[in-house]
Amino acid sequence: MKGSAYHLVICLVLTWPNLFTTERVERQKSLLDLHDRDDVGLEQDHTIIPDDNKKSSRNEGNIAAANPQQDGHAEQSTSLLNDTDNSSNDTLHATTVGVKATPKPTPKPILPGAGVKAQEEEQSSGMTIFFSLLVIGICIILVHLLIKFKLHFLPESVAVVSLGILMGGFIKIIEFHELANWKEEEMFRPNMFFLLLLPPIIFESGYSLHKGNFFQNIGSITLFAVIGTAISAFIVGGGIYFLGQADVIYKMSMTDSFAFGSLISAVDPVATIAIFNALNVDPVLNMLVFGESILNDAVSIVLTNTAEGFARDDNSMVTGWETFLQALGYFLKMFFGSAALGTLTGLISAIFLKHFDLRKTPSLEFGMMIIFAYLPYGLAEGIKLSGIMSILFSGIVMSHYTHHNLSPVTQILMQQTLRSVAFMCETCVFAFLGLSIFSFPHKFELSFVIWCIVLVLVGRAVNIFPLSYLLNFFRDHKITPKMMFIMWFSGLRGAIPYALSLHLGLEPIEKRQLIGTTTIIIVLFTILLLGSGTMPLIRIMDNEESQSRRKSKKDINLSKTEKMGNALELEHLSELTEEEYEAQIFQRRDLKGFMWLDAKYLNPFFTRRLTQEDLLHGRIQMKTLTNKWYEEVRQGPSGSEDIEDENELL
Amino acid sequence: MVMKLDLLNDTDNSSNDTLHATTVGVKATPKPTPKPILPGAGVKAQEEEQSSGMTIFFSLLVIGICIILVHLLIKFKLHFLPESVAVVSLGILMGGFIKIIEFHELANWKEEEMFRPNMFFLLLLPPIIFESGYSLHKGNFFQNIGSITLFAVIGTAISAFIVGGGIYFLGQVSFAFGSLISAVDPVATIAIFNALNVDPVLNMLVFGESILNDAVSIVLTNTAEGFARDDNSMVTGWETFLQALGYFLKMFFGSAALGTLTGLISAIFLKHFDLRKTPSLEFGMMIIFAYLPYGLAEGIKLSGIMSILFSGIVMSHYTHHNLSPVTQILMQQTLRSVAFMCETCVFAFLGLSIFSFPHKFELSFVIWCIVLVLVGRAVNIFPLSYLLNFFRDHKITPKMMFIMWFSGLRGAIPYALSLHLGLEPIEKRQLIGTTTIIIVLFTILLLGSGTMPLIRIMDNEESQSRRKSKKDINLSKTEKMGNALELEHLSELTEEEYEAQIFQRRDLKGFMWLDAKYLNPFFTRRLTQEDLLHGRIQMKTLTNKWYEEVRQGPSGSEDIEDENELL
Repeated sequence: MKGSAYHLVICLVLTWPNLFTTERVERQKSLLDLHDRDDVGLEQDHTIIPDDNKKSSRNEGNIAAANPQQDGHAEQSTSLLNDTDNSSNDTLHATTVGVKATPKPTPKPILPGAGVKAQEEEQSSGMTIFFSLLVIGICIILVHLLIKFKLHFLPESVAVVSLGILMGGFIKIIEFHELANWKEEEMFRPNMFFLLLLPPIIFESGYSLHKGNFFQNIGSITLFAVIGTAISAFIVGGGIYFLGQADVIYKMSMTDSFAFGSLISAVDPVATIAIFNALNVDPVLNMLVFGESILNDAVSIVLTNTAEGFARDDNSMVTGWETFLQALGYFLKMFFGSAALGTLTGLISAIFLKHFDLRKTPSLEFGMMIIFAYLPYGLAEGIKLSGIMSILFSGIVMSHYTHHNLSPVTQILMQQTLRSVAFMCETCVFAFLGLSIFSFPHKFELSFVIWCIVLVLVGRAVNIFPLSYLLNFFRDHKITPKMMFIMWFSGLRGAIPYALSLHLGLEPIEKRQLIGTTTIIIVLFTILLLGSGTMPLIRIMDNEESQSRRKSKKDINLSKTEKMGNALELEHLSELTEEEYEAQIFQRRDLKGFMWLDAKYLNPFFTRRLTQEDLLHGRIQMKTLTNKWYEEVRQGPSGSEDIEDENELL
Repeated sequence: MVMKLDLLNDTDNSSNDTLHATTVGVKATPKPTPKPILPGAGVKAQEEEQSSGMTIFFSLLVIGICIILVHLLIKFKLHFLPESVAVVSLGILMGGFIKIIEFHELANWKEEEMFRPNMFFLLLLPPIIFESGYSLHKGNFFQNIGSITLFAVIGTAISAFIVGGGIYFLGQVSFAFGSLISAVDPVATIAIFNALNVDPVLNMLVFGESILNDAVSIVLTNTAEGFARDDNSMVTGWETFLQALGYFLKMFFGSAALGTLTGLISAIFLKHFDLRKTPSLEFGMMIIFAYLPYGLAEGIKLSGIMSILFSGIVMSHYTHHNLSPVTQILMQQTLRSVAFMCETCVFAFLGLSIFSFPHKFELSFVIWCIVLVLVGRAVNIFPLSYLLNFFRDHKITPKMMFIMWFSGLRGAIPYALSLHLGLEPIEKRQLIGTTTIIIVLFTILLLGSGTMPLIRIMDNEESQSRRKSKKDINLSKTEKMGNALELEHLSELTEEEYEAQIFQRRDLKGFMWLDAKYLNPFFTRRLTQEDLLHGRIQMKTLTNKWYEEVRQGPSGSEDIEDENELL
């Protein structure tokens, strides 16, 4: 498995576009190359991830062998079929050898496919990279135009998804006229999503979660995220199960319906944040929902895995109390294990960067941060925990402690880079979500879709309203009915349900198609309808009770990027104003629970106490950078000549 | 083991499925079969994710340890040891350690430690080369473009012919091997040259050469390989040579043109789309433009490396000046960090590979290769330098030639290329692979660590000729790049020199004149006073924000009174 591991990394983590490519090659010669279909076609997504290195490179070899033939004379299926048979034997043999003598690697895996095949592969992977980058580039331009023309009422996600749909339609038309075949390029791989796109998004969420009063509200957030998501999952899953039993909709087993219920309960932070930020709501409430939507993803992933795992373990599926307890135990293990792992990694990074002073070499420091950011993911996945959960927690911990041990340059670097990378990943996800409409083999069942949408909305309502009501007993800051309504309305579904639905291993292929189609429709429904409906809703509500909220006169802004662009000033700054903050310092003795512990013991232990000298160094570093830039501009080709004003600017 | 058997069964079962799916796929191509889109799930997917998790963990761990090592090198001022040597040694140590563990059958990490050429070419190499191109701009690259190109193209070709021809006459066929082994590693070479405190022009010369040289060598290898594939008869006639030359020229200029074009488009784009208010978009766009030429060039059968190098050069020359100050800093720092990590990864896996590679060692072949490599480099450097001295104001002294010859270190590119090479009998590939590893390690470890004593001796010999060399000699590239905060992208000319140059701007000739007169105004944004003010404010805001944070932060210092003084 280690071999496949490496290949997975190569193919997914590192050269993910290669996936499309190899696969296309694969599919083109599919008829001819039976055996390859067996290993590779089976695990289509992990194309070159067979069970050991040998096989994998043999596959590559086969591709190599088949590709030129494919190019030249595809009709000669017979000869290729022979080829296939031969290679089939090879594989069998290779595998057995692999089994009995693993320690000594055969040369093949190390001397991988070369020649025409490698070139072909590189070439088409090149085109795939080009295509993906082009899509992201166009999306960036789109977002830029949104900001420039102040189309703030349109959330970015809606715009990008719409663009994706447009492009998908366009490609379809081109294909229809048989001008080109971009099909494979536009596909969205769940594995790529989970290994490459999701970690940066989640980590960035965790890293920026710290701003404001996350830790004060940790109780409420956890309640919404864990109990709320579970409620929602049970309602949707249960509803589908019973409706299926009643023959109203497609019949599904208990575990399958629960898996679907769990995956569809993941509220997308990306889509939701934009709307909530735009509301100018109570910062505490904002934080509440932001935190919920982030934690919720992880919970939903863990829940889905749990349901799936149980479906696999015993198909008999006793619906007894015991099974439930077992599932609960598994869930708790996943949840707390991953969270603990993430927290631990975060704390280690804090201690490491406190004691190893890398501040003089920002490139090392930044490299170390990247490593620590991705480390918990790999480790957690390796020991069968949830990578997403642990990367989220390590993000939170790192922003709380480690961040303060960095040099100012790296701090800025970290925030900006994370923001950019997360933005690109999000854009990529939304764009491919839009594209996928046309590339997906759909199985549409109207009643199922409608019932699901109803159940999703009901599930969200049963999640939000009772829990808010319950929380109001304990909170000083009450959640008003209007806020509850907006919280309910803004439960947008994003890319995570979509990716999870593709990941789900359901037995009959129609069921998978059905689930996939339904998920896409729900996601698009919530993003497009609820997402674009939020703005009018806010308007109406504001008109109704404009006296209650003076603030909302401010320019309402649904663009997340612009907000994050301004993050230069905003991010990581406490949401409290100066006076509030000083008041808080004054009351520091009154802090209770975790906040007290944190202020008293944890922070001094994990973060570096900055001396006056350090501050001076930081200032100097920043100043040097500024001056350097200025120098450059002055000396640069288009430098301005009036240097006299310089000192004034300084 | 169980897993493997499982998979075998799986394979049999799914055989039928696949057959069915495939036929469907063939008769109705537009509609993709469901399988590919709904990929493997269940146990297998989980298993895979799990082991890929472990692999990620292992790789990150290796890089992390290397970072600590480099940090320690810097901290304890072990400047005489180049980073690459340290990292490769660490890799070897770890490889040996893993071997011992394996020997006692405690674990099997074998596959994790392997180095994939595909991964190298798609993921690790582009950032390294792009960063090289991006930082190449500093100093006087464009003034020396003639000499650099001569060294890189003709020099590499000479070296490739000597090594390839030598091996050919000694009984083995391989111009491809000659080409791949001619790639001088910029990473290893730069460190040594920077440490020398040599003439900045000469430094630039070698830096430029070693970077361009990689691309040339890759193109040459591909050319040789392509011809080996096309006709195995391999007529050594004049026609074949011309054909190869044509192919090479097409690759070289096509890729360079593509890269340059992309760079120029990015400059115009960022000049006219003002993304400076949203640094995350701006940075994202830069990343896209950086990687775009690679994908495109590979897609249309050109050399991705060559085009990414040229787009890097062009982008640093024009596009860079259209960015907001934050993104400029961000770009440099991020590139530096990523390139550093990629380099470290490459060197570490190079070290690890010694133990994981199935070797075929042939002493005579290795020795002859080393000799040929050294001779090839000598025949490349000495005559060309001699030739160049006729045209250069800045003469290349014999001592410098000697050091240039000595510092022709081979790095990861030959290694990756050798794995990439498609030679027919498997033993030949093993032989080539083993020989390449040995040559690479030989040059890195022996020549790399030998450079310091060499410099010492030379300095003693003619210490009167170079006063500067008393300075602390520093072989650590990272520290240098860390200081790059102050140094990088700053013209190597001092203030007066620069002003003198501006004064003489009318006297500029050739490309420099064209650049100053037409290209620069067209491709870069003319900063108004307002823009400058904005930039300053942006930077200031960042600084203040950081300061605020520190003050408010958990470990903030309380003596705020001094704040204004610091400001």
